[in-house]
Order: sequence, then structure tokens, then C-alpha cells
Amino acid sequence: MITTSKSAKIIPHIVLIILTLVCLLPLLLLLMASLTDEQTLMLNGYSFFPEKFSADAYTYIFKTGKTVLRAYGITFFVTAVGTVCNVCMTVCLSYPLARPGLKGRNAIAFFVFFTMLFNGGLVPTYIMYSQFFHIRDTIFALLIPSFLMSPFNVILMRNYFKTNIPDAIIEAAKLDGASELRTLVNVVLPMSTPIIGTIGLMSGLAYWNDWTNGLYYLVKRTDLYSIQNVLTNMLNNIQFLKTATQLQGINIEMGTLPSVSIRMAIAVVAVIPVMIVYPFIQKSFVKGIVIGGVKG
Amino acid sequence: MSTKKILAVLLALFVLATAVSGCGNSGSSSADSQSGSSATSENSASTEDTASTDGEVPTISLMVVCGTTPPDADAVAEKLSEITREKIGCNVEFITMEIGNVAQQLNLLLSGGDDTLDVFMAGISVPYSTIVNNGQALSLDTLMEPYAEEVKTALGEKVYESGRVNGELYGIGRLLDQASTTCYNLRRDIAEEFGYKNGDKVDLAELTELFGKVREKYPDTPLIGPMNGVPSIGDSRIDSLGNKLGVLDNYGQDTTVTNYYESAGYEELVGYFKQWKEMGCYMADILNVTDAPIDYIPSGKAFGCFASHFSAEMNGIWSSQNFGTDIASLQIYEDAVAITPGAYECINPATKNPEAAAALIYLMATDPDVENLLINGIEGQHYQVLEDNTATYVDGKDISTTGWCLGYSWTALNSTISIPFEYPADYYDRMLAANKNAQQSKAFGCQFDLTGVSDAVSACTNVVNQYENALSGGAVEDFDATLAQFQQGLRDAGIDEIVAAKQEQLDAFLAG
Amino acid sequence: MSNSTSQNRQGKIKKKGSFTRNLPLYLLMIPGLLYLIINNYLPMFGLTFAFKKINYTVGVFESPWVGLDNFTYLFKTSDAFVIFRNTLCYNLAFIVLGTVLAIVVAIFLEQVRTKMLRVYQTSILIPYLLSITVVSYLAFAFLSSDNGFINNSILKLLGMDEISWYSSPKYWPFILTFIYLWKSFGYSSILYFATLIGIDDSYYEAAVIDGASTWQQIRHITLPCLKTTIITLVIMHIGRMFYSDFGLFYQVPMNNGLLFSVTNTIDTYVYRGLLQLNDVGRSSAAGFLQSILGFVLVMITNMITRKIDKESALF
Repeated sequence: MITTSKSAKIIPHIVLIILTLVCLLPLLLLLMASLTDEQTLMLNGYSFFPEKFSADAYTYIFKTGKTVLRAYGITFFVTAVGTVCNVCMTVCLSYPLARPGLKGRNAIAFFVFFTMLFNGGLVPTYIMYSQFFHIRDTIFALLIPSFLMSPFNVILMRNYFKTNIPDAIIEAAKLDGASELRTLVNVVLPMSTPIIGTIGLMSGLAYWNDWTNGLYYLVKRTDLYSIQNVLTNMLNNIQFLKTATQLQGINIEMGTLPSVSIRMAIAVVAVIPVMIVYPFIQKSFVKGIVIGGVKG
Repeated sequence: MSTKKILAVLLALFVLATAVSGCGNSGSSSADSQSGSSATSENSASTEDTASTDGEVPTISLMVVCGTTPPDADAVAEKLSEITREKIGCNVEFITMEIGNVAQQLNLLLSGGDDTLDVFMAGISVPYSTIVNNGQALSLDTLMEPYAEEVKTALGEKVYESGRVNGELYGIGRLLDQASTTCYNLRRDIAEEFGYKNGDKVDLAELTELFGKVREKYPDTPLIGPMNGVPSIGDSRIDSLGNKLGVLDNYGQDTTVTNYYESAGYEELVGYFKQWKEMGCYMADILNVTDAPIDYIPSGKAFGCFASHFSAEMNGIWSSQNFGTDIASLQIYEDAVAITPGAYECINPATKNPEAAAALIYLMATDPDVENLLINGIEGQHYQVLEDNTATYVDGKDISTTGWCLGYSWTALNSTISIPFEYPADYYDRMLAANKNAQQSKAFGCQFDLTGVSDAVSACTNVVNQYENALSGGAVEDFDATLAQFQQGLRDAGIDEIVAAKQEQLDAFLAG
Repeated sequence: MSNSTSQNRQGKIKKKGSFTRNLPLYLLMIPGLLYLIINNYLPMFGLTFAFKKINYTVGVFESPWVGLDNFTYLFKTSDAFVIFRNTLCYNLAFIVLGTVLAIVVAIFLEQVRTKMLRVYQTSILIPYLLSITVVSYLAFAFLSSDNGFINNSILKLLGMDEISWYSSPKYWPFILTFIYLWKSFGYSSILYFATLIGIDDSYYEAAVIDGASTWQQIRHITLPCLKTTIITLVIMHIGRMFYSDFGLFYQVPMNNGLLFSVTNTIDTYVYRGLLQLNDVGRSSAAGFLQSILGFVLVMITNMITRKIDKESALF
């Protein structure tokens, strides 16, 4: 930790409290808007202290999205399994890349990095997964495409290993007769909790927020939709109906669009579980850091 | 302890990895053995039980558009299959697509070699001519031959023939309103106060006069709110030839394609936009507000909005039901031109059962029971028929609790043979009459292929996006200068190439 | 590296065993590399779409070649300059401001050793969790003319005139940059934070004994430790220099034509232009061009980095 004078210690707190407010206040406005009576919202505008409250928006979501609870379950499952797999694969690939003297490691690093610059696009990816690997309409469709391992994370983790794990420690472990795998698991990983936590967090968020895999690969099994699918579908439909007049032939019976407060409620429903779960995950993550710090 | 945990996780990972690679190596044989969850073959899991009793009956998958994925889709599909098994010897299953996802999902399902989807509707999100041009629709001439006469009777010969591109039939046109007039929806109490009733005709000058009077009495409430996002005021006197880039003026009776945005009609319209803006008729931020009329009209935030409908009177009735307050709808232009249908039922070129797919299209065009199932769901479960032969929700259900996607009759091939759902009993009769009475555009049935001028189309689309709504939403400061920029921008983007290409194709169409 | 001669000799003796000795390491990499091959490399056959007129009936592989035809639409328009300028300038601003802000926040976070840390970390991550569509509604809640929070509450309170945000392009470069930073700074500062807390406290303790000021500690200990991470993240962003977040530039300004001069980027232009044409060849061409240009920039940046500091280079 950077050492500062006593009086300067207060500065980080001030800045961080301001930033926290900048991040939280819009969310609070969002929450208030979702709880505001529709007509009040129309006439009085957005406010932190609405005149009239109403929970209609939430009733609507849980009534039309009969599937909301199941979708939550699927999202939790996919996020948990996906994150664990993601972290393991990332560790396995980035650790050797960080080892000095491994032949071809720069070439492999480039091989990894290259995928961040070039991609074939959606249509070829879809053709491959649906016609050659047949993952469409299975739970694998939510797990495998795009998110199982991110080259970005591999490079980050390699950097961490490179800068924060001294070669001497690995050499010492090997002199003690530990195998590569044992060195990795017993020596390197305990020293790497910060990055493992971070990568796990990033991967978890990616799975949690994803709706594209469900949209592309769940054609018949819409019962496997994740919560983000259910919610973004509602938003997509609004978006479509908004622009539909630019297309020919659709000018009648648009039905009624979900109201503003419903849209706000949709956002709240997607964010709340993360806000509840995240501090718990972070608790163990911070603990890991302290332990790692003692060992280091 | 933690070592064990990590090893266990690693093991799980390798199992997963081998599952992926295993799929790749052994292709279809092992993919099917995997938990039976891969639904790639023709018969999906949902129809397994019927397949076992019916042996070789093929299953045709049909695209169904909905607002939210309906929970009773399988039940409706099974009811429909009962009819189709008997009449055309196949089962039907649904591929439901939520309206906002149609473009994306359809595009992927039709990316070649994949027969998951057999019958689909082109024109919702993705234009029909684009689908044909991309090779995503099967030629139907021989397939539809046995049914051609009956389908022509049901939809009308002109609609049927309009699916031809370069002489070949790739889709069966949807029968819906072909001639839409522009209407102004006004809260009924306000309209009556100033001496107007639902269905009255006004022209733009008279409408502007009315705006003036209302503004004077109610200076705090704007008159024009958004309808589906933009103030949609279209000129019902032109045939937009698909995208308004190059149009036929004079109710489609001219045979010269012109640039709409340089026409006197458009310049006149922009003049009115300017006047309305000066009078303060527009709701604030009209281009960005995502509110629907049901949000802002009852709350008194704005008095009305523009819309399109085949009949202003009918539009008033429908809007009164849907906007949460009584509406009077005023028709703006004298008459409307009947133009080429916007959507076509097509068959995926990769289908394994083209004959059965064609037969299904035939039933959708001609069989009221089939269309009723598709549009209204199952009687007694999703809808009930009232004495005047209209349909409504079964007791205790509404749009958010019903199990079927109601309100999407406009995505059906022939809604006119179904029971009107939450419409007046004569709704479809009047729609057909309006189609018949409207002037027919000379270009009716001409499908334009703009691939040759793609560069100009993409550039012009961007220019139109930049200026058109800004003008019609009264959001610019200097209307004359902006209009001039708009016209110049289109010329720079190559609108003349598009006009010329359309002209050439129209000439060929009229000659042949 | 200092005892390279002795290692060399050892290497010669053990050369035959080098691969076998490292075999476990190579085996470890297999699942990851396999996944990259499947998920990323196999679909790259799609890059050929950029040079084809795709016809799905004959199939994507047999579709005819059309040379560079699919690329012309990006340059034929008078907007070409605007969309390239916007894309590059915004990315440049995002890289510079985003990096500085994230590092500052990470350093501050690292100094907090109380329970408040969790509160801070959770809150700054929340904007990252909101989908861009929701962010666009939220932006509207603040900026809308008569209902918006800024006009309705803040400006009224200050006695200032209402501002019509959605018809004033001059504000949007700042609004978009603000929203980008607001949405992303939590995420990237946590990345830097992870590296920071790995730094051994003894370095700082030694520096303090030598009488280093706070700024000197940051300059001589913190920043050098972050160097590799900073360079990596910047190079990776440079690779996407010609891309733009579609949601940020399309949905947040609500596709409003009045703002195109400052909101139109390559991605939004391509989206609007191809909406009717649905031409996969043309959209692939745009992606191909964006990737190639990004690739060139990355190679140049990486080369320069190698010249200056070999260890920090990405490869």
C-alpha cells in the first residue's frame, strides 16, 4: 500500500464516495422510475421522490414472463458452470505462456491474440456450431459459444503470472520434486487469488449478461431461455415496434408497448441478483488476497 | 482440500472439452446419442409421440411471430396437426420468433443447408426482394401448381401474381390492407368540441386550421405525439415502391419513377411541418420519446398522433380500444393508392418436404380453421366467439395471461378468413372493400431488385435516416435549409442511380 | 539471463529432453487452444464472405467471387470522412481518459483497507452491468426536454434555461464520452486493482524509509508495476480502434438524425445502410476492413514497444 500522511488518507475516501454516488444515483432513479405510477411519471417527470408509487411494472413482468423464475435458475446454473470452466481453461493456457524458456510461447501468445482482432462473423460461427457441432437447442448452446474462454483474459492472466510470480519460487518447488501440475496448484494458484477472482468475476458477468447465445442457438427450446433473454426480448420488441413504421406493410394493430416503468423494472430485475451475490463472492476474494499477501 | 476441489473442477472441464471435440469428430452419429437433446433431425423431440403412431408422416416447421413466446405453442401446433394430418398428410410444429428478433433469427436459420425452418414469412423485418435475391426462398411455380386456382380465388389473382421475381414465383403474398390513408388521431372530446367526428375528412390546410384553434384554447398541450417512435405521416398518394427512394406519383398512375423528396408534394408537407413547429404543435423530444399513445394521450400530455389505416373510421374504433381513451380519427388525403403487398410466405430451399410445405401454404391461404388456429389459438382455451361472430379473450384472460400470441394477425397469410378478434364483425369485409375500391398502382406486383445499386441504397438510407424524421418531427431550426441539405445529400449519395434502376425494372415489368 | 552461458551448456545436454520435460505444460494448453481453434479459427472461413456475393441456394462456399465490390460502399459516400473521424477520435479519447481514470481509481481503491472497499467496488461495477438499451433509457431520463432530471430538477433549481439536449450536437461528444467512462471505469479499474494488490508492501516500506513522497511512490513503484498491464490493455484497445460500441452510438442518441455529425460511426453507418439490403458480404467487408486496420495499428504499436522495452511487448 502506498504510504501517505494521515490527512491525505481521507482523499481516496472522498473521491470514491463521489464516484459511488455517481454510479448509484442513476440506479436509484431507475428504481424509483420503475416504482412510479405511470401517469405520474408522464406528467411530473423523473424524480427521486415520486408522488405516487405503484408496483404494476413488477406485476406485469412476473405475470407475462411466467418463465422468469425458471430463467433465473438457468442463468444461475450457466453462470456457475461456465465461470468455473472458464477460469480453469484460462489458468491452464496462460500459465505455460508465462513460463520463460517454453519453446514457441510467443508464437502461441500471438495465436491467442490474433483471435481478438479477427473473427469470422456471426453467420459462419452459427453455421459451424449448428450444423457441425449440433449444439443448438441444448444447454451447451448457452455455455460454449464465445464465453468459455476469452483470449483477453488469457493475456491478462499471463501478465499477472509474469510480473507477480517470481521464477525462483517455481524453480524451488520443482527442485523439491513437485510436478508441473502440483506446482501450479499448490504454489502458483494460492499466490494468484486476485487475478483468479478478477477473471472469475469478468467471466461470470459475461455469462450473466449474455443473451446472444440464447437468441441465436435456442430455436425450439425456448424453455432454456436465460433471464437476460426474457428481458432483452421485451426490450427488443419495443425497439422493433418503434422503428417498424419505416418498414412497409406494418401499420396496424401494434398493440400497446410496455410502458416506461416496465422497461425500468426490467433493468432492475436483471441487476438486483448481481448486487446481492457479488458482495459475497467478493468477500472470499478479498480474504484470498489477504492470505496470499501473508504468504508473499 | 483445495487441491482436490481444483482437480475435480479440472476433470469436469476436460469432460466438457471432450464433449465438444467428440461432437466434432464423430459427426451426427454420436451427436444424436448425446442425451437425445440435440434437436437437429426433422422430427423434433416435441412430436416424438405422434411420430411413433403415424410412422412416416413428415413434420413441417412453420414460423410464428409473437410478442412474447407463447406457453401454449405445442398445444396449438398439435391441434393444427390434427387438421393437416387429415388434409395434407403432415404434422406441423412452430418455430416461434418474438417480433424484435425476427430479422436476426430468420437470417441465421436461412443461412444455408439447414432445414430447421420450412415455411416462413418474408417481409417482416427483412424485405421479400432481399430474401429472393439472397437465394433464401424456393421457387414455387411447380409446387403451387395444384393449388394455384384456389389460392388465387382466396387471395386475389393480383396478390398471388405479385410474388413473381423475374417471372418466377418465390412467395405467396399476404392479403392485408393494401391501401393505407394517413389519419390524424385526436382525443374524441377535443374533436367534438371543434366540430369533428370520427372518420371525417380534412386536408392539410384544414387540419392546420384545427391545430390553430385547439392551440389557442389549450396552449399547454401539444397536438402531435409519436406513433411507434416517429410521427409517421406518409403521403398516401404515392406508391413508395418499397422504400420511398424513387416513387410513383399521382396514385401510382404515372409510369415515371421520381425522387419523392424533391416532389412538390413533399415540399408542401415540409412547409406544414414548419408551420406546425411554429405553432408549437409538437410534443417535446418527439424523436426520442418511446412512449406509446396509451401513455401520453390519456394523461393529457398530448392530444393526438398520426397513423396509417385503410379506413379512418375503423382506425378510430381500434384506437379507442387501444389508447385507453376515446379517439376520433380524421382522414387527411382524399384517397389512397393500393400497392404491392409487403410480406410473402416462402419455403426454405433446404426443406426436405417441399410438397408438404406448399400444401401447408395452401391451407393457410384457404382454410378458415387453420387460420383461426394460427391467429386466435384454440377456441375455448384462448378465444371465445361472441354472438355477432367476433372473437374475444376467454373470460378472465387478457393479453398478458393468454397462452397464445394474440394480436399478430398481420403476420398471417390470410387473416380475412379468420374470425375478427377484438375487431368489429365487418372489419375484414371493409378491408377487402377498401383494397378493391382504392386506385391500383401501375407498379402493383413489381418487385424491385436493388442489388445493382447497393452502394447508393446504403448511402441514401443513411441520408434519409439523418433528415426525414428530423423534419417530420419538427426538430430542426431552419426547415428550408435542412430540406435543401437533405435533397443535396440524396443527390450526392446517388439517388438518381436508384431512380434509374427502378425505372428500368418498372419499364420491363410494364412491358412484360 | 545473466548466467545464460551455463544455461546454454546445460541446454545442449538436455536439449533432447526439453520438449519431453515441458510436455505437461504443453498438455495443459490443449483444451484452451482447442477451444480457440473451434470457436475462433474455424469460423474464419467467413472472412472470405467479404469478397463474395453470397447466394444461400448455392451455399456460402460456392458463392461467386466479386473482388473488392463489397468495400466500395464505405467510401463512395460523402459521410466517409465523418464516420472514420468519429470512430477514431472517440476511441482515442476513450483510451486516454479511460486508462487515466481507471488507474487513479485503482490506486485509491488500493489505499482503502476498510470494509468500505466492498461498498466502493460493488457500486462502481453496477453501471457495467446495465445493458446499453437500459442505459439509453436512463440517459433519456436525465436528458429529456421537459421530463428529464437535468432540465426538470437541476437546471430549474439553478435558475437556468432548459437545454434541448437531443437537438444540440455540440454536447454529445462530452455526453457519449461521459457515458462510456461511467459504464466502463469500474470494470477496468478492477483489472488494475488486481495487479496493484499483488505488489509486495515491502517495496513501499523501503521507499518510505528513504523518504519518498506519495507521488514518488506512485511514480517509482506503482506505475512501473502496472506498466505491463497498461500496455497490454492499451494495445488491445488499439486493435479495436476502428470498431465502436454500436449501442452507445445508436441507441443512446436514439438514432436521432440531428446528432449524426457527432454520433455516426463505421458500425452505425453499416447497420443503417444494410438494414434493407441484409447483405452479409458487405457487412463482412466492413468487419474485415476494421480488423485489418486494427491489426496494422497493433503491429506498429507492438513493434515500437519492443524497441523501447522488450518485456512489456505483447508478443
